[in-house]
Amino acid sequence: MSLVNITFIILMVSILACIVMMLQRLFHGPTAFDRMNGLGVIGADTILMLVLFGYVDGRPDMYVDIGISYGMLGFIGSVIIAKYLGGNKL
Amino acid sequence: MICDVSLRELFACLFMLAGAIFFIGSAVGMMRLPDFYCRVHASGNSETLGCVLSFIGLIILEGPTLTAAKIGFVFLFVFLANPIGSHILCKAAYKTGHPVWTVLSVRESEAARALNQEHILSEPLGNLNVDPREGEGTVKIYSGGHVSDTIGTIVDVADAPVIGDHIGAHVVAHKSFKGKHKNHKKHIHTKRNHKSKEGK
Repeated sequence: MSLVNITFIILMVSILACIVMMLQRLFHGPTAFDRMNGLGVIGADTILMLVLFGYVDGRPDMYVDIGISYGMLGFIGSVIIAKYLGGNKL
Repeated sequence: MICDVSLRELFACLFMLAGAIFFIGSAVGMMRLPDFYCRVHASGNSETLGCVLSFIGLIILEGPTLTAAKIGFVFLFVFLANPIGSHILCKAAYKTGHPVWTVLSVRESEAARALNQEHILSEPLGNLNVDPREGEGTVKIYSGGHVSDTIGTIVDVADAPVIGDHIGAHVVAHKSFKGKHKNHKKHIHTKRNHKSKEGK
């Protein structure tokens, strides 16, 4: 129970709370743009959660690589869906 | 328990706790703010700052290794790509005519109360429901059962895509609409509502 472990636990709990609130925005968002915004936030939170899980497991270098790939896919998908919602034919 | 902590670990934990605070702030902002554009502002600003502070804390904790360089790469990517995604989403919503939440001035709110049209105070400007029974192309404001006067006629239907119930339409506003949109063409987002009179 060192200070670093306590900090990891606090950060993980706060990010989990953020993701749960984004789920509320996903389900009850009045428009499609609200839902897309929630998805982008969930994507950014997931990258941070992956890196933290790497530290908990003891192998941070592997999880950071996975985080890079997930981040790139997530942001590219977010941009493409935003362009589609804006009326442009892809 | 937390007695023998080095200076590096202390700084890393301070940065990560600050990042956690900003994450909670952005989540609360996303739930409570009234409009889509305000929410995008909250998520793009505070969320990115929380990520940046947390990643800086992790880099300090790791020390000068290859993993710290990779985390630095992820940090740079998130720092640049998150605001870009928010900006593209905002631009797409603005182009398709998503109504902007505004607060009326004191004089306009007093006029709305005097004319028994208080529903306008809480309604985002631009949410108009089209009533097909009145004849093709008449536009009124519906909100919670209150119906306003005819404020304009539809001139043509724009090329905006159909997202859910919303279509875009060009409306020429009548002069009697409380002086707000005096007889000029305006691209207003209307709601295609054929079933009931009450709109949202």
